[in-house]
Amino acid sequence: MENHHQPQSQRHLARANGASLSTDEQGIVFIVDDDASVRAALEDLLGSIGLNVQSFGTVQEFLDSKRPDVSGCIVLDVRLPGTSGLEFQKLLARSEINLPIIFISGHSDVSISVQAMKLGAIEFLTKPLREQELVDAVQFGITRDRARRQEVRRLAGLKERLQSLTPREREVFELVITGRQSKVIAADLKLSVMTVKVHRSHVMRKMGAKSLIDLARMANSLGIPAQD
Amino acid sequence: MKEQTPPVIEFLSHDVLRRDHKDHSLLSSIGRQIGSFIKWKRVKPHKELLNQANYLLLGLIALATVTGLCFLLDAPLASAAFTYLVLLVLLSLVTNFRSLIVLSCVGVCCLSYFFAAPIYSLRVDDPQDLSTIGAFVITSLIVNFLVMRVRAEQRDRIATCELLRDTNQRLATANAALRNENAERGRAEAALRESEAKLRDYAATASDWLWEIGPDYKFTQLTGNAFGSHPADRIGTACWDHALDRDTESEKWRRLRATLDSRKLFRDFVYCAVGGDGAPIYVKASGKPVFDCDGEFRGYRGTGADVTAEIRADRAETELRKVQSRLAHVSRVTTLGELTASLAHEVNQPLAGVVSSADACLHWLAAKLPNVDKARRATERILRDAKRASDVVARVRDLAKKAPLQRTWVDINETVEETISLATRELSQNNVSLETQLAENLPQILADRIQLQQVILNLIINACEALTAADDEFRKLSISTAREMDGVALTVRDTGVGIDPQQIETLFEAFHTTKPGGMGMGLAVSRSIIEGHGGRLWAEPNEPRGAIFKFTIPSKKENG
Repeated sequence: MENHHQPQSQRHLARANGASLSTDEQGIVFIVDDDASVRAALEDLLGSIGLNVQSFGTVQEFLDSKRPDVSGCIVLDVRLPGTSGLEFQKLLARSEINLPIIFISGHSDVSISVQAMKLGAIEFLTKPLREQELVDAVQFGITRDRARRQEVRRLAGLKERLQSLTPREREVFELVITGRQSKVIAADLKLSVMTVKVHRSHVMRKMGAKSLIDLARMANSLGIPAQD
Repeated sequence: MKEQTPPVIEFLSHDVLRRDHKDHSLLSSIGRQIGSFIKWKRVKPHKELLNQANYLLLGLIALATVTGLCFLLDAPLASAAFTYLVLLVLLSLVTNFRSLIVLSCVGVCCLSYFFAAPIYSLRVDDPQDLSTIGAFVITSLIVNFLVMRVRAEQRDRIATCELLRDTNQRLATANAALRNENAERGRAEAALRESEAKLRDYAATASDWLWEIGPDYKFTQLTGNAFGSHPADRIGTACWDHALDRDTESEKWRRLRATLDSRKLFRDFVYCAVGGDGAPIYVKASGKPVFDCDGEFRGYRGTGADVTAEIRADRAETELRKVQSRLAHVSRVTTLGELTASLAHEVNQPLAGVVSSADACLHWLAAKLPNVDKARRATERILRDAKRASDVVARVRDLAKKAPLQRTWVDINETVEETISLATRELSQNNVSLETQLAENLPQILADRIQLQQVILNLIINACEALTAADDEFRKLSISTAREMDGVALTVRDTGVGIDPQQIETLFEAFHTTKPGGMGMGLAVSRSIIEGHGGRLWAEPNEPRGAIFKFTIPSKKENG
């Protein structure tokens, strides 16, 4: 046990002490549990492995708080006074707070855990928590949130680029990704083949696509249907 | 003499009337009276002296008068002597012998001085005069003697008569006293007869029986209802001959024998004996040793009673109390069962804290530069959480264990807080907000802490259920304590579904339940617990909705 723990702890601590990594890379954990002693223990535990932690006694406290815009996850007690953990999960989904959730519960309740997982929880852990499971879940959560945030950022870039296309270019774009040849497109749009080729090269440049396949993937990400 | 008589009579009658001197003969008392009479006689001369002087003076005056008359009439010596004699005879009727002798002498002198020649001289020359004077002397002496003799006899007779009359009178008094005493005795006998009849009536109508045993401890007498059997069956036997518990409770019998052998009174000795119909009965006997007038031990006598019914009722009562206690325990465990999830959570929560804090502590210590401060803080948290968990476990164990009733001085507020700590989770789970108002300086009550917690817990859970059933966002439960006139009161107030006023009393009946899985014992047991503490538990509707459950427990002083 000791041997298993030590190198890992040292690794975490090294990261914590290093402080060279940005908050975003480190991630942040939000703990929501009504039990003060559990809250304090978890805060200390996650802090000891170099994570930033913020803890809250109730859902309302969490909602009212000013949270840093970094990747993170929520460690959430299933049973909370007032709004329960599950209701909170739904509430977060509606309010587009997409932080991954790790549920913790006093006892394993199958039906609740199934519901929680269906709603997209990362993990459902029972108290007392096994440190490894918690740390793994938290790190997985943060990683996933980081990935999600990158994806969100990429999409935002794509949308911006899409906005920069002229209407004609947009038409050409939508037809190009269906795999049609330029002369077919020219016939469809009643344009010269040369004009279509110019538009096509503009689209490739504006969108930053290296190949036709790259462009098609972008269109897919942006949810642009290929016109038949 | 007359002044002295009343005390004598009084003394005499007193003497005769005194009952404890009954055997003293009347005669001896009369003898004593005569003795005192003689004593009285001895005092007489002292008083007589005065009379004697009076008589002498009277005699001398009379003598002087006669002498003067005779001298004036120039009476001859013989006539004077005769006159003197007549005077002396007359005087002898009133005066006494000694005065008469003196008067005689004075008379002789007067005769020789005034009447015998030579006159005015005591000398007597004429022999004839001498013989006349001599004759006077002799005659006067004889007359005096005779008169005195007659008087003495007369006096004796009078004295005897008086004595007789006196004695008669005393006898009459004594007689009256005796008659009085007789009447008194008659009355006493009548009273005695009545009291005997009364005792007989008591004995005949009492359910207890009377017994007597001889010096050998065998029954010599028994009243008809003894042992529910015929007295003849028991006469001549000792009570232990019919006992059924002689072997099983030999110590008790040994002690009884010791009491009997030391001739001491014994009271309420209970044993099991064979009854008249052969069935065992419990007998309670008390007895007192009897001694005759010589102080000789004659046995015992006393009363016995059939206490089978009482003993059975007692046992039933004890049994009932045990059953009630068991029921209270079962109900308590059931209540705890309803809380299992909450209680498990209540223990698990601090344990979760302990585990996570311990993990954190290891991390702080395993660092290249161990963070001792953080590690210490984590350890402190571990201790606190561990204590919290063990407190919950202890409380649950207390409630679950089958402990005998144990009354101690209890602070109701402490008990309320302990109980709330068990139900906190249950309340927060059901979104019930709890409000407590605990009055300060409440008197302590003598109560069983566990049972009290059971009642409070029960009321909280009931209220919690009523609130949950009300389907209302606003769920409020308030618990308050207050000082009552002679103790403390606890009120649990909820805003739940409330109670039907017509069903308020049936709430407390056993097996009355509104819960699908409920036993319906909670409130019935709670009420019996509170009543067992001398208090009261009742329900009333809350305003504007919900119910109020309230109990009071008197704060008894020492030995309450």
